[in-house]
Amino acid sequence: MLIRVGLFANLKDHSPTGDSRFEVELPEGASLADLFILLEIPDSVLRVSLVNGRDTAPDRILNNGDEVVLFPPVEGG
Amino acid sequence: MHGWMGKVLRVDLTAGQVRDEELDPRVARDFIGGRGLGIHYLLKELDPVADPLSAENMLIMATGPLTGTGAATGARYMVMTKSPLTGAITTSNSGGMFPTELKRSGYDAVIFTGKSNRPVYLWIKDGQAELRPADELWGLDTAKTTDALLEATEAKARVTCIGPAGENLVLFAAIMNDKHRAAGRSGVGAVMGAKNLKAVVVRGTRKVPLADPERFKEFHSQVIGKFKEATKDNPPPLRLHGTAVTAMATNNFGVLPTKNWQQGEFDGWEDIYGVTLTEKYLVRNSACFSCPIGCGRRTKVEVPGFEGEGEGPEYETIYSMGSNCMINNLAAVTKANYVCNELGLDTITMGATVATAMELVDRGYLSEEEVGRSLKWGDGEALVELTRQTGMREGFGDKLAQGSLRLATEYGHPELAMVSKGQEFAGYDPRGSQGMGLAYATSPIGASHMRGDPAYFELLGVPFNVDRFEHRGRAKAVADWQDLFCVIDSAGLCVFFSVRNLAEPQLDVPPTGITEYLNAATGADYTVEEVMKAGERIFNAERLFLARAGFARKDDALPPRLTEEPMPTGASKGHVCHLDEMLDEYYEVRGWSGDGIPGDERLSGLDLD
Repeated sequence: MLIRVGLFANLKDHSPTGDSRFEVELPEGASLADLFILLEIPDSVLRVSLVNGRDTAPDRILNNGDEVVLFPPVEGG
Repeated sequence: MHGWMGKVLRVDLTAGQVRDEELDPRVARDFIGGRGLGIHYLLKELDPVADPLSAENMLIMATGPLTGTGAATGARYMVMTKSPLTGAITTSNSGGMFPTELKRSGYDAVIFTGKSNRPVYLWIKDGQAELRPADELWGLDTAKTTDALLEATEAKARVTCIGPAGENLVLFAAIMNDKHRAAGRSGVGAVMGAKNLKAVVVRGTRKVPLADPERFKEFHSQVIGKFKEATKDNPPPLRLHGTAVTAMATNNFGVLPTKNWQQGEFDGWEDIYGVTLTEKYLVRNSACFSCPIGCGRRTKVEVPGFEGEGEGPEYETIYSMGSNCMINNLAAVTKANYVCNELGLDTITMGATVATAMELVDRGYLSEEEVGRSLKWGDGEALVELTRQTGMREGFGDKLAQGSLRLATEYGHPELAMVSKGQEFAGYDPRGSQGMGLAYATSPIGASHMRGDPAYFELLGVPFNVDRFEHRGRAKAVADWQDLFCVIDSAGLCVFFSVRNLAEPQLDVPPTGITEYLNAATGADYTVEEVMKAGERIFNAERLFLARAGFARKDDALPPRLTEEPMPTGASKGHVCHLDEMLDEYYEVRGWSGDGIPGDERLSGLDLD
C-alpha cells in the first residue's frame, strides 16, 4: 500500500529522497512502527507522529493512502 | 532575607520622588514574587475602575526570588498594571538581562504611581534611585533610547523603555528591554507613556543572597545535568529554530490561525516557519540570563524593501503577521517584527488587527480608500507600512492603534475581532484544542496562551497528549496549569524550561523542582502543596480584581467564529469550541459561582478576604 509521508526539522534527515514529502510502499497490515523501521528512525529520536492529522501510537496499523507526518516535540511563544 | 532582596522601590511620579520600602516577608512568602507580588499590591492599592491612562493607575515591575540567582532560566520580571486595551489587569512577562540587573541593584519590585509633568526616566544603581529628565529621549525608538541611556549612565547598565508607540498611547504598546525583548501585551507601554515615564535604567552589582548555597548549587547542577543528558540525542528545536518552528506542529494539527481565523491551516506555512527562518535570515541564536536553551533568534534581512536586523520573529508573530494575514513572505513578517520592536508594539495584537482590517476590506465593510492603500490578504508591504503608521499614529494607523475590537466595532462588525476581553488570541485555534479555548476565555488578562497553555497537553505531548477534541473533564487540567503558570511567573522562571524540567510529568503538574529551587534560595521551607496553593491564591486574587472591575461570566467569552463555525478544512475539520459546557465545569473546579465570581469560602481558604 502507498503511504504519503512528511518529515520536518531534524526528522527530515531520515528522508530517502532528501525532500520533506515523499511516498513509500509498505506491505498490507504494516504499522506505524514498521514505517519507522523502514525509514531507519531510532527510538532515541523523539517525535510527534500524526496519522491523518491525529496523534497516533506506533502500534497503529496503516491503511492505503494514509498521510503520516513526523516532527520533533516543539513549543511556541 | 534570601532569594528576595527585601526591598521595594516606590516611585511617585507626580511628586517626582522615590523611596525605599521593606518587603513584608509574609507577603513574599504567600505571593512568592513577580506576578504574585504585583496582584497583591494592585488589589490593595488600585481602584479597580480607575482609568488606565490616568495618573490614578499603578505600574509595577517585579522580579521573582529566583531572578538573577543563577537558577536555570531565572531571568524574568513581570510588568503589571490595569490595561488600557482590556480594562482588566495585565501581567506582561519578559526575560533577557534587565530583570537580573534590577534584582541585583537591590530591589524585588518597583512601584510607579501618579504621573510626571514632564518626560522622565528612572535610574537605579545599587540601591540608589533617582528620576532624571528624558525630554531629549522622547520620540526616539527603543534601540536609540537604549543606546542613549547607556551613554548617559554606564555601559554595563540595562534598559527597559518605550518607543514612539507608548508615547503615542497606542493601546497595545509594549515595553522593550535589552532592545529586543518585549513585555508585549495589553498596552503596558501606553501606561508608561501616559505617565511620561520613558525608561528604567539599572546597574546592579550585588549578588542575590542564597539561604543554602550548597543545596542550591547541587540541585542546580542536577537539573542542568539531566537537561544535557536528555538533549544529547535530541537538540532542542527551540535552540535550533526558535519558537517559529511551532508552526509546523500547529499547521499539521489544523490549528494554525489563518485568514483572520477563518481557517486552521495555511498553504504557505513552510515559507514562514522556524527551519526556513534558520535557512534564510538567522545570524545566531541568543539566550536570556542563565538559560541553557537559547531560543532567541538574532536575524538579519537583506531583501530589498525589507532590510533590517534585530531579534525574532517568534511563533506568535509568524501566526499573527504571517498565516493570519495570509502572508507567506518571511522577509516582510520579519521586517514588521523589527518595526514593532523599534517602535515598541505588541506583535500579536498588531498582526491580528491588520488581519481583522483585511477581512473588513474583503467583505466590503471598510474601503481601501479609507485605509489609504490597498489591503488584500497576503500583502507583506501593507503589513510593514501599516505597522509603522500604527506606532506613529499616522493615517489609518491611528485607527489600527485602538486594536481589533474597537476597529471592527467602528466598522459595524465586532464579531470579526478575534478577541477575549478585548485582547487578541495567541496562535492556537481552540476548535482543535478545547482546553485552550477555556484558557483564553478565563485568562485574567484577556486572551493569552501564557496563562496555562493547554497546548502543552493537547498538542505537544507534555506530559502526554489528552484528546484535544474532548471538552468534558478538561477543566481541572486547565485550572492546575493556570496555577502552575502563576508559580512560574511569580518565581521569576521561564515556562520553556520549567514546564518540562521543574514540574512532575503528571497532568496536575506538581512544581517539585521549582519548590526545591525556592527553598534552597529563600530558606522558606515550602512544601510542594504550599507552592501550588500560592499559585491558586495568585490566580484567585487576579480574578477578585477582575470581579471588582465588573468582569464576570459574560466576559469569559469567545467570538462566534470559534464556538459556532465548524473548522472548514484540515486536521481539525468539523469542530467548534464547546466553551459554555467547559465554563460550568471550570467554575465548579475553581469554587466560583455560576457567574464566575470567586466564592467567599474558597477565598478565605486562600487567605484572600
